[in-house]
Amino acid sequence: MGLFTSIDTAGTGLTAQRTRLDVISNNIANVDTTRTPQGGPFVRSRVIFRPRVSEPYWRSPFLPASLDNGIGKGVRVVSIEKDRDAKPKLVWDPTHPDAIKSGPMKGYVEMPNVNIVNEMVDMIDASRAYEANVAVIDGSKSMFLKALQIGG
Amino acid sequence: MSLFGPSQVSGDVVQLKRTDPLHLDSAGQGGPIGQGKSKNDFQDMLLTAINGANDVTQKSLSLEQQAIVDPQSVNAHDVMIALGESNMAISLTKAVVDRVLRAYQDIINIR
Repeated sequence: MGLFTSIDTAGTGLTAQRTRLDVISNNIANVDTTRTPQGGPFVRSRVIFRPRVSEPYWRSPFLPASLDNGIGKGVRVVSIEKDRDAKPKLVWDPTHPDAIKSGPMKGYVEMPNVNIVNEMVDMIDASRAYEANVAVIDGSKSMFLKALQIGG
Repeated sequence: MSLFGPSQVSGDVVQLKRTDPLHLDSAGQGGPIGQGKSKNDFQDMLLTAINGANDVTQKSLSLEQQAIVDPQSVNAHDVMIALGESNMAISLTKAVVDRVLRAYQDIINIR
């Protein structure tokens, strides 16, 4: 509990949402990418968040209060993972250079599993979450300025 | 004689931190905690606060310079948060100093 605790906590949220927007922009930019260094079409990425707590993390009713970790310290991007659950979309385009050359799927192109609608919704979500964190910072600062007015 | 006086027990005398008014100090006395600090308490606190405000301001200044020299390396919100924090720290220091000066003026004007 300090002067800047809530501001720093909201700052971690701002950083996390910026990272999320970076990943979303990469997904949208690669919506038509059919060729990657790993082979196959582009696979969309997802951001995994994790609460930021003091380490080591204790949790027991028998521990004294001084060992309690207290309230959290915000959020942290723990990893950026590929979304392998959604399969690549198959689009019929036999003239495409990356079209499947043989087999039963001959003439189809494997397109990235990026759904542009989902990405746009995620982008709105990230923007609103960013705005919410900015509102927390503004609220914290106005509370502080109110406290300075105590006693005239 | 106190029921829990140190004369009734033997062994090493270890100073423990008192966190509750019911805890006894080394003299076997209870009472409100937070007493018995140095008489420069307010001065130390004020100097510590001013040093803290100075550190926060220096941090925001270096972050600002980094944003000007290498804008790719810093987030805009980190710069604005540092600016806000230094603003808050300076406001708090100014409020405290103003109150102290006003108290001083009030004492000077006693006649």
